[in-house]
Amino acid sequence: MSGEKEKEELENQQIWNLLDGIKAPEPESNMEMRFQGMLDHYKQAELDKGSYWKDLWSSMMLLFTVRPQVQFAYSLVLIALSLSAGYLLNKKESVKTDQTEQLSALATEVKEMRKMMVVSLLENPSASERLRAVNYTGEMQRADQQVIAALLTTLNEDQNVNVRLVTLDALAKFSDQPEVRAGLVSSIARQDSPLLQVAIANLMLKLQEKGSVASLKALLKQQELNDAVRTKIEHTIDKLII
Amino acid sequence: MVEVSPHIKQKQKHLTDLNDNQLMQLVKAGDLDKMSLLFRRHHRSLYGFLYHMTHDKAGSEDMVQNIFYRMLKYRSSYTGAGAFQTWMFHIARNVLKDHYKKRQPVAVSDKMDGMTENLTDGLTVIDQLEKKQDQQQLHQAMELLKVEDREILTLSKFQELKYQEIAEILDISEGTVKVRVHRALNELKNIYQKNRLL
Repeated sequence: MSGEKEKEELENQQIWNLLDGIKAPEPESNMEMRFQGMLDHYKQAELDKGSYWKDLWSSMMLLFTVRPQVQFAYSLVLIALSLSAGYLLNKKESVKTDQTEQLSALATEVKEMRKMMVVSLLENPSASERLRAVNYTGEMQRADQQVIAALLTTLNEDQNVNVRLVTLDALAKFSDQPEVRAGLVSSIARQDSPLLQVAIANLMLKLQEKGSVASLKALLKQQELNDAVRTKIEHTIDKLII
Repeated sequence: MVEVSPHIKQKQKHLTDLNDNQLMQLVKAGDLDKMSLLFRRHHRSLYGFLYHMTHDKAGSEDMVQNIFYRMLKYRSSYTGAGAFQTWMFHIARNVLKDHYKKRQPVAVSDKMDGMTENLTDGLTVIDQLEKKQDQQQLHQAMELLKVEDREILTLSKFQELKYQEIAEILDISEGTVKVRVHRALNELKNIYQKNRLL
């Protein structure tokens, strides 16, 4: 009888161990952005609570804040691009080089619009819109001075920690650009959130940015620095100066 | 170097030191932005729980949003008497019940996503394939378990909660949790073995 019991225990243990191999997939990366959007709307609704007409008005206004004019203009340019591309492709007598030139001009225009939208949305009062703006930079191969400046300003000054964290990720993608690295290094001392301090230290380590050591050391001088962050920064400096 | 104001320093220290219960109390008092920190801390774990219960990726993501929405909506009901996690899982279970009501039978989709990455290095290809097959069959067996059994195994195995924590969430005694985990594991083993013989 006890033999059977032992066998059962062993089999159960095997099943238990086999369960280790079953993992949930990673959730989509935009979950946090969706939550932030929901939170913004919820807060707005709370503020406007009390009056039906106010509620109605805020719902209508919400439509416009969720889809600001810049996005509308962007959509128009995309439509114009599609129509022009169709027209050019069907125009038999046109010279191929002309088409290429016109298409590249339109493509440049779209890039400019996207840039304008990012810069403009980064100033939006809603955190979810600012997150959306940062996410748009993911479609860019390279970021120009204006976009970099806007992202660095967001990294240094945005009130929302989540927006600053996402912005740090976005800037990391452009870290092969010297001005981005310089901006990140000078941003270290401006970060007051432990989450950001740790994230930026990790990034410096990943990039092997030895130029950041002085800024990291300066951060250590802050008496109020969180103990866990202090240990992390010391560890990062040690690894960078090896 | 830019001087950080004492106010910000104080705030920074304050935020890291705050536990879930304190953050939720602040949310209850009207500081709704603190819910962002709770979301950051718990959304992955909740997603894992819901995914193991439903095997529905998109549905699990929607449910996570719904849970945090309900936590905001019903924040006044938060007493802070027990652990925040207990209250969060009470809401999660209610959202899950609603999900099941809407979608009977249980959605069977996204089955094998994310479950094949954990093959141990050093195994031969045949060993790896066999192990993968075993895990697939076990995954299917999990789907065939009763919801209650799947739930208790998920909380214990995948959420790595202690029996005492599970007891608080399910509102049963610790002893009952122990018995039910054992029974659920037996049931899982039976289904799994039966499927292998087919």
